[in-house]
Amino acid sequence: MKAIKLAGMRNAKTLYIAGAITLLTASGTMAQDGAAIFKQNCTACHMIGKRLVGPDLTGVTEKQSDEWLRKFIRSSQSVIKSGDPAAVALFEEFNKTPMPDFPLTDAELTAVLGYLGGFGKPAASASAAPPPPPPAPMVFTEADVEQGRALFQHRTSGGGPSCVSCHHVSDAGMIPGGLLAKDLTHVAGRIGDQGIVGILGAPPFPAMAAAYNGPTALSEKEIHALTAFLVHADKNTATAEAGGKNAMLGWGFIGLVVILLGVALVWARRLRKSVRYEIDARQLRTI
Amino acid sequence: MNIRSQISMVFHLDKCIGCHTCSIACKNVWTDRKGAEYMWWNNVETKPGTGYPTKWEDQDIYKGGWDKNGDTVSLRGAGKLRGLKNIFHNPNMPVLEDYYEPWTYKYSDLFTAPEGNDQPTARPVSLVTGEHIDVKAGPNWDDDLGGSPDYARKDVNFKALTPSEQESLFQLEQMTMFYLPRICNHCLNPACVASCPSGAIYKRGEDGIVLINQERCRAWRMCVTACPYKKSYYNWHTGKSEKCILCYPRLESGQAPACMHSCVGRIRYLGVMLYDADKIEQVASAPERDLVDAQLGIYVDPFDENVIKAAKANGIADSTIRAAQLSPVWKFVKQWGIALPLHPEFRTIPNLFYVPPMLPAMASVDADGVYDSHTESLWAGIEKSRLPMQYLASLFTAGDTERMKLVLKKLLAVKISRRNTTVGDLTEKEVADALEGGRTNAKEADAIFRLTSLATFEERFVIPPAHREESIEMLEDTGDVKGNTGFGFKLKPARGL
Repeated sequence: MKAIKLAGMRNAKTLYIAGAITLLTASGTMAQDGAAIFKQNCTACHMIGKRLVGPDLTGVTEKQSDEWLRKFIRSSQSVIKSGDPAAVALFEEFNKTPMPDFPLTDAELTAVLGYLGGFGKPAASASAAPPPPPPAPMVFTEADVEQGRALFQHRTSGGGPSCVSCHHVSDAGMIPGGLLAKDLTHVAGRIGDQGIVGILGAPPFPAMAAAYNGPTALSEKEIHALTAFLVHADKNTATAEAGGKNAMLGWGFIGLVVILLGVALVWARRLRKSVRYEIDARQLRTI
Repeated sequence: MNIRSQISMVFHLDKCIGCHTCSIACKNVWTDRKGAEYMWWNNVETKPGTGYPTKWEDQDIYKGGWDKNGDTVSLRGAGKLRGLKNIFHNPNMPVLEDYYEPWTYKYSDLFTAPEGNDQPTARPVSLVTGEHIDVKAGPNWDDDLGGSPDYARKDVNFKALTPSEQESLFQLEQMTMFYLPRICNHCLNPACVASCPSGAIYKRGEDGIVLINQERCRAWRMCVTACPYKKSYYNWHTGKSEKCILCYPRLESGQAPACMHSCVGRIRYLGVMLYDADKIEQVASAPERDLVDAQLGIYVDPFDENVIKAAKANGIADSTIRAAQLSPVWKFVKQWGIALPLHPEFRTIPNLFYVPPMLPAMASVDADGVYDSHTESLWAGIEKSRLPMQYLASLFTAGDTERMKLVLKKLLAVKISRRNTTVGDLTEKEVADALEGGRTNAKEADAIFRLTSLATFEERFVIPPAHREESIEMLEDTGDVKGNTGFGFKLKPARGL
């Protein structure tokens, strides 16, 4: 009996020590992890000191509670749906572009929020801090646009899938794209060229992140060309044509009718009356 | 020469009394199952009539059989391109109404109906849906010329007759009919086998029986279209097609098929025929007027030394060759030439032959309109037969009336010869003229009479030993399964309780 108790105590002690070591190592790596996690997951849409696709995150930890931020990062849509006024306001402000869910662990969230907390107050109130210099405006040539248009419809140099398999862009000379992901016709208007560059460089959306990862990641040149094309599409396509999805449905329906008519013509003599029809009809009349 | 053996049949139509015992025997043994209720692998039709399924002979509707196509033949309603085009919806098939909706009666109502002023009745219920139905037709709805305005008058074979000839057929004094029992013909050039997209239908090498492999059948139903005799049926319950199997389990054990065994009129004969398989294409594509003779030419003499040698070289057993020599089919079809194939113009080379019926001679209506049934002699000659020769020729000789007359004259000669023997009221000249007209002699006429009227069971059915052991050896090495079959236990036997 005694021996067992002792053994139990010893086990508990070992656990405490192991736990302490883990905690120590974890806290030691926290800061640089925060930066890495931020770069990996957030920089496609967010910057410190500049509004990109999503809001400027300077001082975000002071604007919102820690608990709110954790919930929002894990599932922004559920926070918005719960009717949280701040979340709804943000959603409205940023053209209802939903933020993808990031299933980060508690430790990772602690790390990334710690990293964000290190940037002090919101830029507006902290006027003392000079805003980071705006990125140089991107210059696109006709060749870039052409290259981007071609690239949009084909596999990338790294072997990644073509953009058009999931995305649609209403543009002259472009085949109707897939409906699996967002219509990108006016994406440049929504998030700007820098936003596109950010997303393409480190895709924040799970499907895209998986598709353009490692060897299939897009090169700088490809990103530039695609951005050029998307900016071009935004400028040159009238907003009315945003209904490309419906047009495709319509054409699909017309195509179906044409095919069915063809089938009806080819097999026009299919449905016959039974051979007995006349006999039965006459006999019924005589009853 | 590529000699093969074929189980063939002769049905003697003059002996058929239309009792449907054959149909019932077949139904009880093989098609008394769910999904097969409407099938009659053996059916008996009244001719003239539309038959079962309705107008089955009209290939403009059903597209069965083969079309002559230069030196060869091609399927009328199936085949590569046509089959592919129609594979998901095959339009040229009889529908259930063309057969009939099978039904039973709700007999339990007779006992369970509540008390009322009227007798309870057993209403008909469909065997397909289980609902009450108004019975519109059955497989022999036109039996004995019943409903002839709708059935007999629409006989497909009347295409060969002028309207006035057709009209005169339906004058009361001239009306006549005969029965036509039909089963699968186990053809030498089977359209069903050729049409099957799944390759499920095959002709057995050892006896030429055509079978549908129920495991490979994929219910495309091309065989239902392709068979010009409409003897392949679709089972709506199992989703497979089925057809007459010529009772092969019975044949393999030396018994006659159920329909033949039960035949009351003893009209059916079964035996082996040896044929030259190299000639099949040539015969099937023969010009229409030569079709009958071309088909009869494909069967070879089982007494011929060369034939026997070639048959043995092809692995045909001595017992099979002996059966072919004793075959009643050989006698009727080749030796005497009085049995003819049904609708040879379908070009499937059917192996079921019919001895055509001798219908009563036509009486005359004299100038005063008096019906006179008296004729100078009992058999006034086949030209005065009530059914026009074209009609019988349309059934059995692809329209060749001369060929038909020859057969009927021979049958007539047999009857006259027998009358001379039993009654003896004919002059020698009359008998000699009849025999000469039928291109026969007294000895042959007697032989025909004997096999027609006095034949024993063994003479009517000469069934060769099946030699299943040899058939099996063609497909697999029996050594592989030695010790795996026979008496034994699947579960280890345990003693006690």
